[in-house]
Amino acid sequence: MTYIPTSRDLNWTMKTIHSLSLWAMPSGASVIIFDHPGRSFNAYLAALSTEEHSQNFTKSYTNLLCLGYTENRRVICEGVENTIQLLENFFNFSSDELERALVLGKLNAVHDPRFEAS
Amino acid sequence: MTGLTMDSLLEQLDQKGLRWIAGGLESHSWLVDEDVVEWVMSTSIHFAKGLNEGRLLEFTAVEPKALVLLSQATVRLLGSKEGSVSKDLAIIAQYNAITNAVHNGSVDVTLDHVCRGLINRGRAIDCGIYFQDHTKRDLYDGTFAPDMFELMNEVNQTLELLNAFGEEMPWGSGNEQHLVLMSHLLSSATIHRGLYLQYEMAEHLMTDQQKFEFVERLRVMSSTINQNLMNSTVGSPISNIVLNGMFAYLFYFWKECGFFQHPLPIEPILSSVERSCSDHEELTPEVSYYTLFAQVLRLRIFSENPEFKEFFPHAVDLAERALERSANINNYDVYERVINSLKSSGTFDKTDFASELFMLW
Repeated sequence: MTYIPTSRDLNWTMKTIHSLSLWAMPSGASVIIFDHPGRSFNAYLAALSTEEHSQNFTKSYTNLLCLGYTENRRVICEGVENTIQLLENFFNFSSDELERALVLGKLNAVHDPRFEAS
Repeated sequence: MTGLTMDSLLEQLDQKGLRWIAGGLESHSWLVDEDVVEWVMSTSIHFAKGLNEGRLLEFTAVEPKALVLLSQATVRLLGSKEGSVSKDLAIIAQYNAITNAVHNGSVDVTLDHVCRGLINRGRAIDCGIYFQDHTKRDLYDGTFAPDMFELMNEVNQTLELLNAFGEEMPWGSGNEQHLVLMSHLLSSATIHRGLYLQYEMAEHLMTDQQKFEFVERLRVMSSTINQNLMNSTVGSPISNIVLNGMFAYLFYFWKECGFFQHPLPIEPILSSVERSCSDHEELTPEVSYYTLFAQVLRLRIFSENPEFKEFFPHAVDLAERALERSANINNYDVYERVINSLKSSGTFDKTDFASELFMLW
């Protein structure tokens, strides 16, 4: 069945992405690069991701479409299992940069009690 | 049902006078043809029944805009007496629109928001009808408040999103952004007002604990949603009239409910009432209609508070003048009946008013 986002889902996604040019999404084994003025994005997906990752990516992708974004390009990254490997292998993140991104991601996370409960 | 080819539904609707423009249904001229009205109802029920029987996937090829047109047409036909048919049609429309979008990579943002508005409206009507059925049997429906607060939260999230990011979203040509925001704003004001009306209607059936919980949640919800309503920059005469009328009613409710140790002053409430009544402004008949709620509220305040008794006759004159200049749409008959009753007996029947005005301004 197609996932239908609630307004809360859309609001959370918009608040999360509006100041990001790169959105690393561990739950979806993917990285999204935004062109906010052009209202579009490129998606990089780990080729060896799980079904659960794939479902989570589709949810976020659907949220972005409902917010009026369009996908310019999708890259399936061979030999990669998760977002950390994507950042290291395809975006050349050093271990320091990865750690900083992780800390910043947690600090800037948009509050949603549903995610805290899980 | 016979004679319906799903993939040409939009075309069939067009031929019957139901055409799509920005935001949905172009006009209601199709209402004059009884055969068309009957066809609209039977087609709409066909889809709603299918959804309720778990046959959603049979309808995936149906054009979402066609389903939205039918949904809006049933809103016009059924008013606030029934919400599930229009809601079910909007659910199928949104499902199809998003399923198509995931395949072709873009969503019609306006269509998605029109569907959200119709679904919210239908949910509210369903909850209200269930609640009122209980109230008529002297029972308090304990599911109403949680369901409605959940719905209001969803509506609130929509307003917050559109207030913060609406300007950046890719609306269609013309004034689609304005129409969508206006529609969400009107529906949130109507649902919000409806919650208070229902509380007043069933107050006598509630325990003190139920009253306290309901009112406490109303207080929290209202402070959030009022913030979002105030931040909405629609700026049309209807939105100003509706928002002033709604705020005046909410504050009058809070003043009268007895939950505050220090009563709220009446002056700011009357000031909002006056703004919503717009007695001395040039308004079109349709815009004038939206002032009728505040006209009734002013009569109610004057009849319930002895210190304002001397102003009551003039307020009756103004209310009658407002009826004369108003278009005869939506709940006009209810306002006319209530104004006449207030004029003749000075009494206000909360139950009748609440049951009629729950989901239609």
